[in-house]
Amino acid sequence: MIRTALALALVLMPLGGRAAEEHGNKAVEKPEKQAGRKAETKPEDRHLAVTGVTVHTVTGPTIEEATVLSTNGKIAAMGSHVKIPRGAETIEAEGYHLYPGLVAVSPTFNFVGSGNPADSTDVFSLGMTLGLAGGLTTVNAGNTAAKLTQGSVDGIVLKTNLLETLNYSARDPASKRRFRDALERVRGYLRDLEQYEREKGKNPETKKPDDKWIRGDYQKALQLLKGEVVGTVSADSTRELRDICSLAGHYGFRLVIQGAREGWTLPGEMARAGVSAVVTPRDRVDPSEETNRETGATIENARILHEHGVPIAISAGRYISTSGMAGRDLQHLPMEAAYAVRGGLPDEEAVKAITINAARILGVDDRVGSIEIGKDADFIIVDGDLLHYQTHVRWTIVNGRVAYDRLKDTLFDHLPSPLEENIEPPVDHWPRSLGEDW
Amino acid sequence: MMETLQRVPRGVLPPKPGRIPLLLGLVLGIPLIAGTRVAGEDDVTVIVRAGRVITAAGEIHEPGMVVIEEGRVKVVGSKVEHPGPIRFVDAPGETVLPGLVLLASRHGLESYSLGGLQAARKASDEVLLEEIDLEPLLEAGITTVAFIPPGSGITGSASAYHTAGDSSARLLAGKAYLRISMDNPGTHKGLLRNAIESAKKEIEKVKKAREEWEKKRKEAEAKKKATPPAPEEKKEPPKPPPPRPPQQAPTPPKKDADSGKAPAVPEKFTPPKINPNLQPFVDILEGRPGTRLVFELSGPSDLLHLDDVLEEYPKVKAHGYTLSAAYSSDYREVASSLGERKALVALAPVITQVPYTVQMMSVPAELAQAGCEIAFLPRSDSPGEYAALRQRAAELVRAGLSRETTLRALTLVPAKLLGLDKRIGSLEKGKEADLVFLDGDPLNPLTRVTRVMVSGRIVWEKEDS
Repeated sequence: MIRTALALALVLMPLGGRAAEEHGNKAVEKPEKQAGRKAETKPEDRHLAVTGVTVHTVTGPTIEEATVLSTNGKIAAMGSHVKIPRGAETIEAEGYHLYPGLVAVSPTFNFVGSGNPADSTDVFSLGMTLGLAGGLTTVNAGNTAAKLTQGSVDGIVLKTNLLETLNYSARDPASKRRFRDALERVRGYLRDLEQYEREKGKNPETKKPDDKWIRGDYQKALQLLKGEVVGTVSADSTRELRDICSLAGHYGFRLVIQGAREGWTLPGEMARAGVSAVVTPRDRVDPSEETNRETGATIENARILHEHGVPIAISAGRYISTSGMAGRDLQHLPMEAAYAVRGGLPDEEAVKAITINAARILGVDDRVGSIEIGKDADFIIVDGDLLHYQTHVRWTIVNGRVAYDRLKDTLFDHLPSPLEENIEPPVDHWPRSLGEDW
Repeated sequence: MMETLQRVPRGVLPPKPGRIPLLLGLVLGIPLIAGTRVAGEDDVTVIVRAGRVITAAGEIHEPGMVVIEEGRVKVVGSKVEHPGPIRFVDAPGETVLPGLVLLASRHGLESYSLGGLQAARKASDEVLLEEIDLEPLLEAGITTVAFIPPGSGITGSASAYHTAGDSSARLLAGKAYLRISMDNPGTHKGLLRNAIESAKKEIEKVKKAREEWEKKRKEAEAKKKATPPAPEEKKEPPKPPPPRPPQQAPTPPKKDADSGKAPAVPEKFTPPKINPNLQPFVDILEGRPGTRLVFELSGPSDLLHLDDVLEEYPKVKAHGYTLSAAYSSDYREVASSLGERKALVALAPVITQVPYTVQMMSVPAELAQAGCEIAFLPRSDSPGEYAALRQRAAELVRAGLSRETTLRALTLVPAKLLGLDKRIGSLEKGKEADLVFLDGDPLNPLTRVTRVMVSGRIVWEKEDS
């Protein structure tokens, strides 16, 4: 059965990185993690090398049987002929696939602490391990991008003040009106300011426009129009989407739409407005009887948006897992992306939607989201095609440190993997209970 | 006196010279209560003769003798000879241990919660020994207890007391250690950082005031030199200024020969007042010894967050750690980190499961093996657990912890955490003669405490003995 499924997986895999003779290979990690820390190299240099792995760079080509070297938490080298420094911690990963760490773009609070995650995160928590097991390395905690740095409090916070939530909802027409007025007034101010700058030298009588009133909502509108912040709003129905897209197009500000379930009904409008969309392919919404055109949810939403040039990120909603064995991995991010593939989105676009596109939306693509030299060494090493339902994360690396090792944790170590046939979990072992919180 | 009498259990008598009939009884040699009476006489050397004496300093004497003079241990050995008047306290077949030390308790105190920066508080402010029933502690063999201030955050100082004895001499240390809980790092990290930063500002404030004073002083002296000095001043040798009470902020101007002209500068520098809640941190930053910081952690992550703060301030170091959430095996994650720094770690003696397996593990043993010095706390702050403390510790010995480490974890290491290891915690020369008499091996669950001695006096005795 498993073999049949595997053959299927191979057919589905565009890259065909997994060869049959590699299946029996047992993953060996050497030298021991402890030894790696006490490296013979200079004390300030911390190396981690992953060898023999198929590297999915996401922003560049896919490299087979390559080595990825991380030094002091950054990707230092990658390719077929990388010299591994002495004392480097090495992961031999023949047959495995390496992807960038996944980025959870929707706000969630299950993986890191509230408030300032740098000070409040329990770095040994079950939530964090669950996230890492699901391949996440960066999450949107409130409005802060945080990393899942299991076992370390260094480098948790990646970026603060990610997106500016706009008060623009169909349920609250009054604030919609206020927001539009604020944009209009601030745009007038910016035009006056431009004129003043132009005439300053020629006409001594021009006065700088008054800006004392620019506070609160106006301040927000000003930052938005100047491109200093990216706005975000939750919109799902055709009507809501049309409204907000026309506004963004008219005033020309950057906008991220969360949800966009009926985006497929107006992909052209969304593309022209220059908005990005965070979609959850498994989300459902019924068609509306009031419109004389097709509405409701479709599995093709992500594909249609992508084909029309709307940048998309895929989110699994607020939770990566729910209680019980069945739900805990079905709600992982790659599963959600696989749904979009089922609706016609190309594989590589689905992977981008949970890595680099998500990082771009959060404004952290300079650090994470793809495998590039100089970026943070945040990556996952998985035992097959990332989007295949049988694929497990074997190692998650955050800031160049092994943050999760499937066979050293009790969440998923008992489940079979095609690359680890010889490994049997200890007899006295049972899967980790998630308790009532999950 | 009457109050004390009511408190001590039946069969124990307060030292009173007028008790002639009882002294007579002693002379006649009623062996069981003899010790009680003899111990009351401070001028006489007391020798405890027991089946076995465990010093907790690495020695076991079988049989053992402890020579006590003026309430302190003079000699410990198997065969000790002592000239002069001697009274014996005989305990054949019994084991004598140093008194147990309970390093954090709210026994008998109100429970309430306080948060934030409370570093100036002391537990001794709320301890009224007369109102606390210490019998359960004595019954468990505890001779020293450190009461802790309540709440979380920078809670204030723990105060260590003898559990019996002269009420005037029972306070061993008002500020044994400063208890800081890190159980909510999201709040407590900022609190700690702020406290240290504010202390730095206080130091800066004092420095500035001193510089200002020195400058004014110099100016005044320069002025004085310009004008011819008064003849009578020349004759007198310079005297050190009389000590002033520190509260006297505006120093009255000194009457100089030409005081009418220039505003006088005080001869002695009076530093501006320091916020008492910041004083411990000021002391630490200025390198004054005596402030011990003990951090209460509720999980391994708290240690990493604490280190994250403390690495910014190399002068601020942890004296020790207490680990709450006794049943959490997660502390194994930081065992090596704590071991590397040879930390003093207090925790409950509990055997837990390796998560999601049926394997048992002993976090205390792992910490000890990693290099920590471990101290035991009761599983909960209740009399039942005080009584069960030896038994719980015995379970760990059965699981592989060494006897020596276990007995130290009840005596010497908690004394170290309190900064009192020079006075209590083991039976060594010069230390307080705080002894527990047991009718068997200390780690046998059937063994009971028969007598307790504090500073050379028997203060408690089992009722049916």
